[in-house]
Amino acid sequence: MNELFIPAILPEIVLCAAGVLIMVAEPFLGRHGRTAGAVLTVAGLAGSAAAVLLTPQVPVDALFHGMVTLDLFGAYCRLLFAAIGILMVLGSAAYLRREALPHGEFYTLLLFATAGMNFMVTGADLVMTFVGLEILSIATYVLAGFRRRDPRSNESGMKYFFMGAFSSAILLYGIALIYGAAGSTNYGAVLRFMRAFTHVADLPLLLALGIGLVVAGFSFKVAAAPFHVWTPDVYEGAPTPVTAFMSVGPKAAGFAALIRILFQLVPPDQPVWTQLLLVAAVLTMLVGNLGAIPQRNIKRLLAYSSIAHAGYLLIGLVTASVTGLAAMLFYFAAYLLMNIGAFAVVALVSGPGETRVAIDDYRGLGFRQPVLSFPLTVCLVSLAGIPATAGFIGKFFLFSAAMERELYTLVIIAILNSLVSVYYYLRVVVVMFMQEPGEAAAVEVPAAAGVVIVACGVLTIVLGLFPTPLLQASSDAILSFLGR
Amino acid sequence: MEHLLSIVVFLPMLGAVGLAFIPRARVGAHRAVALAAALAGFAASLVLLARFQSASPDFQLEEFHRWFAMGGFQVNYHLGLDGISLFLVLLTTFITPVAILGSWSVTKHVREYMIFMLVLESGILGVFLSLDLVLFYLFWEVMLIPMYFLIGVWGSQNRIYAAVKFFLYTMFGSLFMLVAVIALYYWHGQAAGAFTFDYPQILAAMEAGRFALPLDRQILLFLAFGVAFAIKVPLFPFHTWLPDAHTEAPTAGSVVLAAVLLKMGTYGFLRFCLPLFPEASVTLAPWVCVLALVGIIYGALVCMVQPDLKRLVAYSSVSHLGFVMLGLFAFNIYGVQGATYQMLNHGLSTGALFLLVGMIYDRRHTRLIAEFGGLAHPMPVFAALFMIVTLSSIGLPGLNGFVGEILILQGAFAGNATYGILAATGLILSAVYMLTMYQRVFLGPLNRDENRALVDLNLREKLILVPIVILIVWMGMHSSTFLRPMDASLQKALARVQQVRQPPPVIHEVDRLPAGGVGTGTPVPQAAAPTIR
Repeated sequence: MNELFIPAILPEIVLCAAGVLIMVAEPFLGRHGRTAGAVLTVAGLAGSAAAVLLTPQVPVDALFHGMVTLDLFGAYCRLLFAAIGILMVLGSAAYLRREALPHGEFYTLLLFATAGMNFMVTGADLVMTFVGLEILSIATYVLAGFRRRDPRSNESGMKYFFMGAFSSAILLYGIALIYGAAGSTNYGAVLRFMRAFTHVADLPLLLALGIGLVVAGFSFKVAAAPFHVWTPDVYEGAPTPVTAFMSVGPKAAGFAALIRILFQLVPPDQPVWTQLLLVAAVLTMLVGNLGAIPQRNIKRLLAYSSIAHAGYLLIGLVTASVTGLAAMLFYFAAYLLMNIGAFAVVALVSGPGETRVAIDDYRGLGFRQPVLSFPLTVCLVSLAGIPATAGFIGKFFLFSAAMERELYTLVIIAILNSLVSVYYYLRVVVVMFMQEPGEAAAVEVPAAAGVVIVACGVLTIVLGLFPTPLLQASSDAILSFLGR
Repeated sequence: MEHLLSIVVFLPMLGAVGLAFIPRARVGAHRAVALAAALAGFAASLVLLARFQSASPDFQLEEFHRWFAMGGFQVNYHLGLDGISLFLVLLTTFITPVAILGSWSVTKHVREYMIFMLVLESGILGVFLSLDLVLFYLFWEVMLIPMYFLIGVWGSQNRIYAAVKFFLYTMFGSLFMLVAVIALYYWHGQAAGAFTFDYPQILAAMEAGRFALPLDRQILLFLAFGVAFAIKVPLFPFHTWLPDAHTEAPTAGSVVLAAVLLKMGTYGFLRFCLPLFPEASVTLAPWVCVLALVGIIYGALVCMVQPDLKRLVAYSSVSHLGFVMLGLFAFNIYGVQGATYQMLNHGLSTGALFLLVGMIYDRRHTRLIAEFGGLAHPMPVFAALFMIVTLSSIGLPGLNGFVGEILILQGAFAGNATYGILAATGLILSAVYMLTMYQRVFLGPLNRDENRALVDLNLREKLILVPIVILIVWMGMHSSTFLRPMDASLQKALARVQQVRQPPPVIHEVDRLPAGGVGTGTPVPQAAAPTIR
């Protein structure tokens, strides 16, 4: 295959072209700009998905002089990111109008962020992965502070920027150490270097430290303990659609990059960092679930829930098995649906200026606005991992993978955490349906946002009852690169 | 391919989907459609009864489809009916229309209420008919959500506390069950070479000796399954959610809770714990029996001092379900037959009691015993029906309760005389608290003005109660109708435990069965039970 095989990066080219086009065209379109921007963004995202689907997914280790790979794993993740983007555009158009935020910039940043995530999952070189991460991060910093007249949003953007810069530095330092030890930053080259050592103890300290720092750097992105501290504040202050995006997009991309590094750069049969990841998983679940209990603000509640879910996902990394990693990929999709669905409702209920974000503001929503309350209930029930939802299937396979590796204690800790999570997710349901309704005015539901909310609710159940196609796709994606 | 079982399970769900499309304002239509769907479910389950082959101990009318898979991981949609589940299915489909008919007093969000009732029914039926462990877990959990809403939205004063407590308690148990299911999957797969969640297949591997669990693993799995079931039963000391949930739930919610939901726990023990983990069952039986006895006596004692009618009925469930557990863990055919029979009895009599209490609550908006007295004068029909149900609950010969209790006591005595004596004490206590309650509510002078104006039952209320009373008498007078179809399956469920256990020496003395046509108890095959260890 040609070294410069354009279709391998065509999706990212489409995304960036669409982003640039919106930036250039927006000033000339005037009041039509909003709709045109949204349409163009959706077109760009759909185009990137089409480009992925049309490219033959014959696994190729390194194209563009060892910079990107082409495989099913990358394709799966890129399709997922395109789906996230489309749901985001549909869900946030009305929000942008309500908050009088600039549309063009928002869409452009979203497209660039998606391109960044794509490079994170297709990068075949630590430098490429890092560049992808930075494209994503810089776009997200701006998005977090997008409501620039609101101090909360400013705080969020600032905090996220400092924390992100810090984690990028750690990551970069790790990459430098790996380069120092192995003489390359290319996944394949490092892998060959590491294969020379039969015992873990023989590995150069420099290399071990470097990989540890890289893992730590990504732990910031996925909000895994002990690098989770920024999450509640940033999630609370950022505009709600951006929070939704941060909770699914960068998290999935971060985990996908971790999977690549831990199983393509490190030999898959040398799970060196399992013990550390295990500790991180337990800690993350505990911090997330226990932290969520006292929350009174729904965005903070969902922030802690997102930390908790990072903990469940880490179980997949700990198992280092096909079942566990495929379960993670499935979980990305399930988590995308339930979280975007939940945040879309939060964005609508929050009202102008995002003033109504307390859980108590949901009082009486249940029977008054079933279009919002029932999908939200489905999403919360799915987050809690109750059967007949996508969340259950994800947890079921994650726990099964851990049982397969005989990590019984870890599973017991995980199920006790799930139990705790049931309590705080149900509290929202209690407030919506069971407490005496307040006097709040009805929430207006714009068509596009309504479609996103209902679709997320319905798909969560559909995926919970008929998960086979997606499960098969995720296990194929994992096999496509573990087999190599 | 046979689809009868799927039809029975999903007919109510179909009704619920239909309800969602009827405009909110048409309350009458909601009630009618819900009742029609529930009655259709009952009719479908009568077809099951007609098609059922009593002589066979195996699963019948099985349905098997692949459901979902990942790699080698295969979960199936596998339903099947046997003598154990047959009558529990019938009980469910019978009680639900009765409960729906008894919910006319619900006026808030009628459509959603009926939807949840029907979804609940589907969930419960799925639990009784699932033969794949993951499918079983799915139905087990899915049925929680409608019940949670029924208690939390339509319940009385303390409903939110009760609903959340109910949900968390059940979830706690069932998560352990999930872990046990997955563990069983891997352990069976590693030993037998075929990875599956299919219950009959795992059981067959165990019977054929391809898969033997060491005692310590059996005990772990027994405990993990058992905690889920024990909470549902509820076995003392896991019972504390029950009084709250029963008392706070709306009438129909309490009826379904008491009549069928609790049976999911005892059914679980009988279906899974005894056959799959026989050695652990025998090892742990003394503990279970002692807890059951504590439940019997503790529940009865609490009932004696209970000022609230509904709470009294709730605590009586703790006591009655203790009997069922004692019968199951006696490990002989009398005990197990009695336990299964008692599950049905309790469903009918406690369901009826909750309905009766609901009717008086609708009229007086209080449930305190002290507020009543002499009600037999203004409401003679009500008093008469209440009397019959009370007598059924305390086990008067000639009514259904007697048959179950006498069988359980026989089984218990055969196993351990002390257990039998203590259980019999519970029986006496139950007569004491039920009759005292009856006396205080219905007899004596009518000394409160509010009670003078009470009107007797209307036609709808009579329609609710009369079928239950007919069944109560039928099950008391002609028990073989119900015992015979169970027999073969119960023998099979017991076989593995009995292999492990040494036969009790006194078993022959109980062959002589008294009264009421109990006479289907086929002799226990004790000769074929040499000890294994």
